[in-house]
Amino acid sequence: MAISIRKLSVGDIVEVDGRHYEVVPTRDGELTLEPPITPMDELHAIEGTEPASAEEFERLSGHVPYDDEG
Amino acid sequence: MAGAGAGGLSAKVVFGLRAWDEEVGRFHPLSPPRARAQNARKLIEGGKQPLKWVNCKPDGPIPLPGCRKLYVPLGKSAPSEAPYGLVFLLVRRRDTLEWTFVAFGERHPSNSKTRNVYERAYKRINGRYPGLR
Repeated sequence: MAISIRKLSVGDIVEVDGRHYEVVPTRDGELTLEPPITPMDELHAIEGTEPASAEEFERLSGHVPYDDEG
Repeated sequence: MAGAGAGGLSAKVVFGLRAWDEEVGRFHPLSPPRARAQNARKLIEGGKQPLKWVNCKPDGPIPLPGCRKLYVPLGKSAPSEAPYGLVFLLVRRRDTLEWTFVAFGERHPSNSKTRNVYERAYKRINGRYPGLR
């Protein structure tokens, strides 16, 4: 019996046993599957929100400290 | 939904259902990270815990403009005491501004293959992990 090879690319979503996984690259340049992260654009559409402006961020968060982390 | 806590801010904190499920629901129900995230959310929504907000860096290898974060457990800062982070993005809903939850995870994962909370936030906002086209 011939083996059927399914071709997947980065960003593809697959379902395995009822669970969804996204094809994502690793830091090493390999590929792996992980639970998908819904992009903010899609969440904006779902939640009825839109990006705030840099001025609005500065107004609300300009006094908040930064650190060296992320 | 919750007030933004300390800092004289006027935007409330919102935990969207899908983002919460993707970020916290990926951990086993009895696992420490999930318990820590749930406890932090309860405290944030309770509005009585002083919140030590820190702005995310708008530039660098993982730029997150418009974002701020809380370390978990709340009130702790050192990675050894607060190994997790919650990242929020400022968004507009009609005439109001909200800090919407975008990512939860380890700040400095011991497993080099694990994406940290900032990489997860970047991917949610930009649709891909940092450094990738």
